[in-house]
Amino acid sequence: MTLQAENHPTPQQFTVQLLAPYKKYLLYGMASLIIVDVADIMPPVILKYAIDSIERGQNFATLAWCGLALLLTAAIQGVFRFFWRQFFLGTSHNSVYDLRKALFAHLLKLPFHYFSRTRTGDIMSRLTNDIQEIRFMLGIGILVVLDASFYFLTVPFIMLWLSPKLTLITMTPFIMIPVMVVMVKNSIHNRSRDVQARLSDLSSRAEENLSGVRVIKGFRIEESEISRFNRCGLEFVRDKIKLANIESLFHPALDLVVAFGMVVLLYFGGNMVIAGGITLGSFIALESYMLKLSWPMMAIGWIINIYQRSMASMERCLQILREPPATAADQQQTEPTGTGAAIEVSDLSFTYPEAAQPGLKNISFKLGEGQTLGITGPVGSGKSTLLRLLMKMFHPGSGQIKIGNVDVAQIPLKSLRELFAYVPQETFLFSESIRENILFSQENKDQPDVARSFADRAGLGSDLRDFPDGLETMLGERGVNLSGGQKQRVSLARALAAARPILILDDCTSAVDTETEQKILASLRQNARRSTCIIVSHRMVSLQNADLIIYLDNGEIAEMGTHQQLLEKNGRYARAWQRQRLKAELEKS
Amino acid sequence: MDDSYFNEDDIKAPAWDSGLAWRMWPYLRVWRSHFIVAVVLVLLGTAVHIGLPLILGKAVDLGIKGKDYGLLLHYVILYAAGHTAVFVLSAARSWLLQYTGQRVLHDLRNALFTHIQKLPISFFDRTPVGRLVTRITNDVATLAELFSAALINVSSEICILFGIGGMMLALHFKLGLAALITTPGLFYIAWFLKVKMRDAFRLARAKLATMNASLAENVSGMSVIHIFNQEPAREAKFDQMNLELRDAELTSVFYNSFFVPAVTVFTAITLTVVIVYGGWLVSRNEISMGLLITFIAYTQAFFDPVRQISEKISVFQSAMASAERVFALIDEQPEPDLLAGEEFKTLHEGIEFRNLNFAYTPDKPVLKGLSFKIRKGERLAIVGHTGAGKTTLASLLKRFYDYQDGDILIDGVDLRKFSRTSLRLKIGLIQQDVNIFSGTLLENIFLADDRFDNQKFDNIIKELEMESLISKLPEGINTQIYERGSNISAGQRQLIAFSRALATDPEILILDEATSSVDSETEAIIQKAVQRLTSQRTSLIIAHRLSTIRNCDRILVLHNGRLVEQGSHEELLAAKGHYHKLYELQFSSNGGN
Repeated sequence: MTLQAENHPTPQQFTVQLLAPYKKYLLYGMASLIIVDVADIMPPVILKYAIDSIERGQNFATLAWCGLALLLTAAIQGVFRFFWRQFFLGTSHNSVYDLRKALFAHLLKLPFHYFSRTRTGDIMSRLTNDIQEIRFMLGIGILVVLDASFYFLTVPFIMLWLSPKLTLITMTPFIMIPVMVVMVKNSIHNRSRDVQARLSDLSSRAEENLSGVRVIKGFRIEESEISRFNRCGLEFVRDKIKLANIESLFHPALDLVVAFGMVVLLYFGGNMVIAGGITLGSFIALESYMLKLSWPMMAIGWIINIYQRSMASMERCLQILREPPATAADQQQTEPTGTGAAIEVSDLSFTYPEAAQPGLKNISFKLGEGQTLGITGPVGSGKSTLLRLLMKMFHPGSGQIKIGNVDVAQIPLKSLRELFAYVPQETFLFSESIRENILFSQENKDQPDVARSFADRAGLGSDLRDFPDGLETMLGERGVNLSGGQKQRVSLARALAAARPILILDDCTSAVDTETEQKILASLRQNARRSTCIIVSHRMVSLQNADLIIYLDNGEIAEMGTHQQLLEKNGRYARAWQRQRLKAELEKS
Repeated sequence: MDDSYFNEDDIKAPAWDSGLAWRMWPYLRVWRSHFIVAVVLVLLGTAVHIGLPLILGKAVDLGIKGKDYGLLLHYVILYAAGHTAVFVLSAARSWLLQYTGQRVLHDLRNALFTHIQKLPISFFDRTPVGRLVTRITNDVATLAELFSAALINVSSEICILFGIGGMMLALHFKLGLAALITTPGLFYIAWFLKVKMRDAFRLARAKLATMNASLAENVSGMSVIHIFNQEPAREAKFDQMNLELRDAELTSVFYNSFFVPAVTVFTAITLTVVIVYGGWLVSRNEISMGLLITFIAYTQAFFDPVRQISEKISVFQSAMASAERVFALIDEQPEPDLLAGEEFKTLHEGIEFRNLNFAYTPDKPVLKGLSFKIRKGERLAIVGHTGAGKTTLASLLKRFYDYQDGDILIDGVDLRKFSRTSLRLKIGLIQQDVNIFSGTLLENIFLADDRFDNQKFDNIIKELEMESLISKLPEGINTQIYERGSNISAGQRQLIAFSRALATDPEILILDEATSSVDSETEAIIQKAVQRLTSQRTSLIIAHRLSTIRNCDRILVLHNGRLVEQGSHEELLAAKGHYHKLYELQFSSNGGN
């Protein structure tokens, strides 16, 4: 089943979509519910016959039959109440399973910039707290709605049958209920939404704090963090109490309406019994039915509350599903990929969505297949931005990028990504074994030998022997923490194992020591000879063998050429090179 | 590493642990006057609840059957007053409980958060962030819910239960006894199901925590998943966890589904007993019709609390499970008082490491018998392979970990005599992984509001020549930086790390590969700043690149946790040892062609 939000469904429509696959179970559930409720509305009538028979002083047999009838209705209810819970609650768990699945699948499709502008804690809150609210509605919520509707559609008619006049009089206060419901509906909705948003802030705050705990302890700002968290918490409490102000009045008020019905019944009903208009049994049965109506009355308030909350939550989940996936444009794109891995960039410009100045301006260059491109330049000069555009993490503002002579805009994202192996500047590894991390892109992850060979190529071989379980050592949150350099090499091994035509190294050996780096570079030259390589580095020596070197500054190509050409130009590259060379000379002397 | 780590959530414990419950007391005590008022409201509510059927019975006997219109009206007015009282009492109770519940929750959440802030780094090495977030948000909420609303409400239900039971026995002992005879059976069934429900519930919670941890990780690593086209594989992995969660929830639903039907059946049995036996008693004129009606009303009201309590059993189950986990976290040994010990102010002579041994896990020593000295004002470099234990030295100096064997002496005084606070503030550490928080640039530099200092900020900007960087940001120093610094470059992040260290004005500076991902121009700026900083301070520079340490007074070479060489650059080169080898490699890559 696929859950999609492409047609911009409302939360209500989407709820229907979500339940559709479990129609059958819902029908079984409804059947059980009808059986249970029918059995449940019998007892007051049985009670009426029992009391009337006592009043008439009839024999004990009638009373015994009434007792038996009561037991029978109870037995039926017992069996089917089990089923209704199974069907309704079971469906709710199945539906939120589908919803979680759809949300996660959609998250996987969302573009890079979505994750850079959305806090992890916020996404987490939607996938946990909001889903909890939705499940509540889909399970208990639907059950109660149906249950209450059944009572509203049957009990008043039985009451009318018992005594039309008395029923009409006692039901008068009930007119208040829809009035009250309409009055508070919106404020409950809005205040619930605020509460959810605050909860989301709170978990974001906690998440961020805990992820950066080393900095927090290192700079001794625990107290300041605690007071920040405290402020977040107080805002949550404030909004939650605003919601409580309405809720705690609303529910007892609904009860009060029912109670007034009972009072009216006692007065008029009592008078009618005295006058001989109805029997005492009918009066007691009516009293019983009023009590039975009090539960659905109470449920109205409760349902409205969880309905509002769940629709607010559903809306928050839909916001994720409505985010256009990165692959949205792929339908119109016919070209799978071009031939080869030559790269041609012409007149490329780009500005980040919220940036004041363009990140890249009029970038043009050509790189043949199997060639190596070196990119260097000061901090913030647009090096990483260029890589992101190449890999289509962002779409260029203007200009064109061609790979294998095809405009990347024409290449479906999935095919495009088959072209790249990427070693990011910020290493991210999963809390899995080293083997699984290296064979990340492999279908079959059960190839320790393959993993080992790539680990060796990335210069990780000797480190592996030091780990408690070698390749099977668990990483990250669930296992050991590697040093920065070790992480970078696992990340490199992962890229090498992907064996893609274009290898991108984004300043990725910064935390690796010289000796190890030498081995890695040598092994790369040997094994990745056929790949097109893009190396971003601040260290000119890593780039000097490149076929083309670009010196970026302020988003523009300041200088471009081979190492030799750039040296001859005697510009910024040459100066930087001299500076680095001088350092080496100094150290040598 | 091992399964027990990841399955920590599966731990077993008794269903109702009064020890655990007592531990909530300190958080509840603060609000005890609120709770006392709530309890008074509960007792009054109970009294009115029990009184209403009696009024009804009297109205039937004296008003209706006595055919006295005046007396009937009298009871009707009393009945209306009773219901109005119920409205006032329950609205007040509901508001008070929500209010108090939120305050207790807030206190507990803060206490837990505060406690977590005090835990040692080693705790965070072994605990996933996602799990801690679950503790601070969901578990705490469940627990507070139990000890405020649920507990009071359940007490109220229990009061009604006993009140009605007692009332029935008092009104007519035999009929009362007959009505209550089935109750023990119901309690027995409840007890039996409770165990099953708790286990199922606990499993579901554990699966939820596992899934959340994985989810957080996948969201954080999304760009890696994208680049490697691994969406289907990650989706399948997530689906597996999602399925396990659903199945655990379904098992929980299964056991839960038995309880309510059981209550229904018991209600009907009791009602039958009351009507048949009570009716027989009325026909023999032993009781009045009004009393029978009071009994019928009581029977209907008696099982409503039972149902309510049963609905809340799941709240109890989950709250006990949450309590176990929350208090297990609170039981985690915090770091000893961060202020305890002498305040480390200034370094007079130097730092000495004497025969220092250290291991994160007992069987894997990281530092082996390390001995060396740093003199005051000295610039000491530590070089060596990745994983040689260099970073560990920095962590030990800041007392992030306690060493097992050997000594670290500051001016001849044991490091452990100094307070952690003073060490952490006076020993500035610039790390290779820069943690950027969502907030403004300014907040990211000073980290705590009370440390903000305009003068200091201007100095930092000048020293690090950050003017051009700031002018590039749309709102200058007040630019919002996203979580993990995703809207600024790695070099800019590095500059922030430097600014942070400058902001605390440290006595000893540790640079941990801090210049590694900076381009040569920025490196020049930073080298200048570092030069200025380190010329006034004792500094320890941990670096892989020899270029960053050429200005150091002395160089230590670490290999496999041991000190293999030390001396000046020239001395070490002349020795033609390990350092020489490292140097040759660096030189050949820098100058060779």
